[in-house]
Amino acid sequence: MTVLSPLDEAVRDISLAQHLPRIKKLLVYACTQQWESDPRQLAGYHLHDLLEALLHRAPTVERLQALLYQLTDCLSKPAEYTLIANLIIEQLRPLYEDGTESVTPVSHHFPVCEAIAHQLAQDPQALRVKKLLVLLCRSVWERDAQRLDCIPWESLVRELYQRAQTSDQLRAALNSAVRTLNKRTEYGAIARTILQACEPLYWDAANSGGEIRSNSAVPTTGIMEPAIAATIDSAPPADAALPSPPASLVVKALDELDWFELRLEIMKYTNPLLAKQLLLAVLYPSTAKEQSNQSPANWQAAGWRTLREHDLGGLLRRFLLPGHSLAELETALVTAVQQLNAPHHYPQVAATLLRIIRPVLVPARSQSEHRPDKQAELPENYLQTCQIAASTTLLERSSTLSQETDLSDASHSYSQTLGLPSTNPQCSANPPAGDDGGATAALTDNELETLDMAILTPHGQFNAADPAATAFHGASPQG
Amino acid sequence: MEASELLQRYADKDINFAGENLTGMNLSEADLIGINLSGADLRNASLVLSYLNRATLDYAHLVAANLSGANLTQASLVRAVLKDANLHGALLQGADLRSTDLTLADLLDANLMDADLRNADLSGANLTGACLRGANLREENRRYNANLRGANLRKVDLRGANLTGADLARVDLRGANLSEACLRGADLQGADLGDANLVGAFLTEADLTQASLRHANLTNAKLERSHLSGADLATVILIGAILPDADLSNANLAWAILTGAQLNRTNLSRANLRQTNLKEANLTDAYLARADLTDADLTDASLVRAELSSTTLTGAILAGATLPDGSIHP
Repeated sequence: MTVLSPLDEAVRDISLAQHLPRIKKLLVYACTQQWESDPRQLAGYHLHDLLEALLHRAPTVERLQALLYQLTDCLSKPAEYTLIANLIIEQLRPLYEDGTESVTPVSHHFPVCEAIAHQLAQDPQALRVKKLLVLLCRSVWERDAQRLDCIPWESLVRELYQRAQTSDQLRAALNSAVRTLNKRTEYGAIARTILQACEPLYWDAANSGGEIRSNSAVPTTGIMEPAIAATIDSAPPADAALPSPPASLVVKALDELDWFELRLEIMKYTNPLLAKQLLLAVLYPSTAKEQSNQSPANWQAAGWRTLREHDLGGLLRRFLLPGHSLAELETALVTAVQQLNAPHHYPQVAATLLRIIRPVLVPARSQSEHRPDKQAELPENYLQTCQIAASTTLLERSSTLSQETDLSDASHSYSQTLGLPSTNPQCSANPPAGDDGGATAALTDNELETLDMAILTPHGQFNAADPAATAFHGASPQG
Repeated sequence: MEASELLQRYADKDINFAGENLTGMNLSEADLIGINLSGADLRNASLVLSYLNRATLDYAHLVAANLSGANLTQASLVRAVLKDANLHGALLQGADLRSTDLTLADLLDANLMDADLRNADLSGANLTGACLRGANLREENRRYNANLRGANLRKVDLRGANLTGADLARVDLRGANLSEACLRGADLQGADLGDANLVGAFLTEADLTQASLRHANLTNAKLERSHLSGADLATVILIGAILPDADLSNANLAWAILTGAQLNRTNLSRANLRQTNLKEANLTDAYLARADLTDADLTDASLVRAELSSTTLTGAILAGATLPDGSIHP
């Protein structure tokens, strides 16, 4: 009897799956970075080759998850393709577990599981909590109350921990699950309940250094390439002695109509062409460099071509979906504005974009999640207000700065003039001068730490090698 | 006339350039708010990111002109010829575009909110990502209606737009927002509405013969007496949709979700309803000759007087369903 290899088994199971064309599209996209929708072209790809290439690209199941969720976020049907991504991950999971030691929950988690199970069972929305847990753990949407009753809470919590061994993974899994549901608002709240209740599961890991990302204010899943993520994660925790960063704001899950509403707002309050140029410069820094110092009307042919290949809605999704914080989005916009250096056009667009995305931002995580032993020191709303006020101030001033300083000095001056945080935590940001510095002046040094500085690359990654970014980051306030 | 002369005259408060020959002129980023260019010859002119707010461009010749990012808010372009013009990311909010020739024009990501497009010719135009909320495309009469034949309307925002009787045959409307749009009696034969949002849309008596609606969302849409013969409705969402007397013969409804849909007197002959979710659907008097309902879920559905004599019901779930003779399936 022929024994199939685990990969062959995965190929066989996937080839029998219901949405094979979509699976293939996503696999081709993951392996080649090309979106292929022509059935004839798709037929030319073999599942075996695609899966092999994918396994090569994503050497761990976490990286596979991160990669696939990042891709699905950029698609026009994120919910549908998240389901496809989940299916692929489930099929490939045994392959990862084969060669490596499977990490199972350690026994001392069991009393914790019990306590969490008890807490969740007492929740007023216990039924919905259980439905979402069953969906996460068993990939089934179970409506039948009787069948749900038969599933013990504790085993669900254990299964959950097996599947998501860091809080980032749990958040990513919850996000992707909620995105596939109709009642996203309701289940978003349920997801938060689960996330909060399950915090104790990750305390030990965080305390023992197991969760190395606890200092990063950026959820890594679905955002960064593993290598870059590692660079950021392994960076010395310069702020280790400082209070933990407060909640940052990220984009909440949006349904199709919300995206149309966002685009509508942009069209109402700014020039769609300029908005596209700016977003393109954010997402494709090479474009920004090519078109630097060009008037928007005189963009070079290559820039126009790229611009025509993307629609505004698509660019907006790619800008927002990786889940960066407001501070990161703002920094990316400012950098692009600087690079393009057309002060009469882009600052207004950037300020408008920030104002428009503001209502769709929600806190990324609670402070207690970063440091379970610490309580949030500032009200969340206060911090949100501070961040947004700082962003607006920053953009409002960028126009003047772009005119007054050359590019090499601009970033330095930004930090100084706008009271932005330096990457050096020992340096306190200078208080801004002038009337419109009120909002930022109200921020303490620690609060300013929340305005993380980062640069987005085409895939929504952080690019520490970017010279402009380095200039921006490296600027240490004088005086 | 040179561009510098025009700009100088405009700076000197002269705004009347009606009928001037301005062919190929470069007026990019120029501030020409309120200028009168009626009947002017602006063929191949470059007006990229120019400010033409409230400008008068009636009868102007703008063939192949580059108006990318131009601000034409509330401008008047009645009977202007914009054939093959580049209006990529242009602002045309509230513009008067009645009887304008926009054939093959590029309106990618253009803002056409509240624009008057009655009798405009948009055949072959690219309207991908354009916003047409509140735009007037209404058919006044058979000879005075917007022509969108062969236009590309992908991801277009037509929420709540009035497209009564519009000719949208074979138009690409994939991923478009048509929620609450009025498409009563519209010709959508062979149109591609894949992934479109048609929640609460009015499609009464619309002709959707052979149209593709894969993955479209038609929750609570009104489709009374609509023609969906041979349409591809696989995986479509029709929760609570109203479809009495609709013609769904030969339609592909595999994996579709029709929970609570009103399907009274519908013609579902030879329709593919494999794995279709028809829970609590009303199929009273429906005609299901040779329809394939393999593995369909008909829990609590009403099949009163439905024609099922040649219907395939292998593996179908009929728990609580009211059968043609009025009895309840155990």
